[in-house]
Amino acid sequence: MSINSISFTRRGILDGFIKCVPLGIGVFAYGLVFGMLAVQAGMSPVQAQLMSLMVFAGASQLVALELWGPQLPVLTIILTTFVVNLRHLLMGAAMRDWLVRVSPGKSYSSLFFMTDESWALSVKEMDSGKKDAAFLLGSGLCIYFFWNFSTLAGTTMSLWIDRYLADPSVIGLDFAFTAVFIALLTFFWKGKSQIPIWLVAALVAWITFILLPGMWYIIFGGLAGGITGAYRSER
Amino acid sequence: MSDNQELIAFVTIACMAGVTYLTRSGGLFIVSRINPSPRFRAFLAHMPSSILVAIIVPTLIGKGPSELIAATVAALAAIVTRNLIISLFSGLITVSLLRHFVFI
Repeated sequence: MSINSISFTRRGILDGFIKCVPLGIGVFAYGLVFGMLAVQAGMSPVQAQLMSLMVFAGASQLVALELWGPQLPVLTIILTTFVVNLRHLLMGAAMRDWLVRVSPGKSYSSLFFMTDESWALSVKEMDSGKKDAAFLLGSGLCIYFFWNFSTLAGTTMSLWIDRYLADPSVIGLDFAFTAVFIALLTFFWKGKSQIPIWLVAALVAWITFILLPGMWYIIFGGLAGGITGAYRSER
Repeated sequence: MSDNQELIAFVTIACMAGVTYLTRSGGLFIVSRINPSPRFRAFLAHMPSSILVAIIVPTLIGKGPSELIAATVAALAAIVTRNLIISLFSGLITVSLLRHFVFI
């Protein structure tokens, strides 16, 4: 791949947006839950919406709800948010091949919208040799749309909470997240040399998940797999 | 809520937004300022799929046969069709059917 051939087009934005819609639907279910829980936790609908518009990071927003109350533990919330979102550091670094070839304005605005879902889809596109870096922005905007629209729907509907909406497992939507990530993972298969790397990542993630709170398991699993891959590629 | 509490809530949300963007932009900021060695390149190349593995593992720990079977179905559908939407919906349909009719 020629290193100067990375583009950033409107078509790439549209392509990313459309391909991300199925993932957006899964995000929608969680946004509904966030919106409803936010009102129950004592947040005003405006505050919940501001959080979805400005923070735009589901896991850390749900954790913040656990800590929300009349007396806000401000520092604890900010620190927890930072730690829960630390995994983004690795994800942003992994987008290097696309993002260092476009202007900082484009790359750093794309990164504002980067989520687990849109990142996973984009890194797959990049890995398969696609050259339009705007895909990351487009898929991120798609998730942004679904997340904010569902937050609004959730806070609006919180007055008449329905079991079917409060518990997405009833219609299997809690499994959407797992299914999407499993499907994306299969697209990364490049032969048997992948097996030890993924086993190490799985094992380290599992152990970290049991031992440490928060999202450290993603960081340690990703680091362990990357280091295994780096070590094995030298031989 | 008093005006003061409103303000504290807003500042908290704004700071959450700030530290979150720091994590989103920090990775590129670092790797765009270094010229990675071959070993570091290999690390960057293998990290994405490892992150996916790490994300998946806890969502399957302690889950019942419905989820494990549906996960297998979703994986097979993805391998055969190479299509995300087909894989997603075959997983969703499998898990809801199994939960309602088999492993209740």
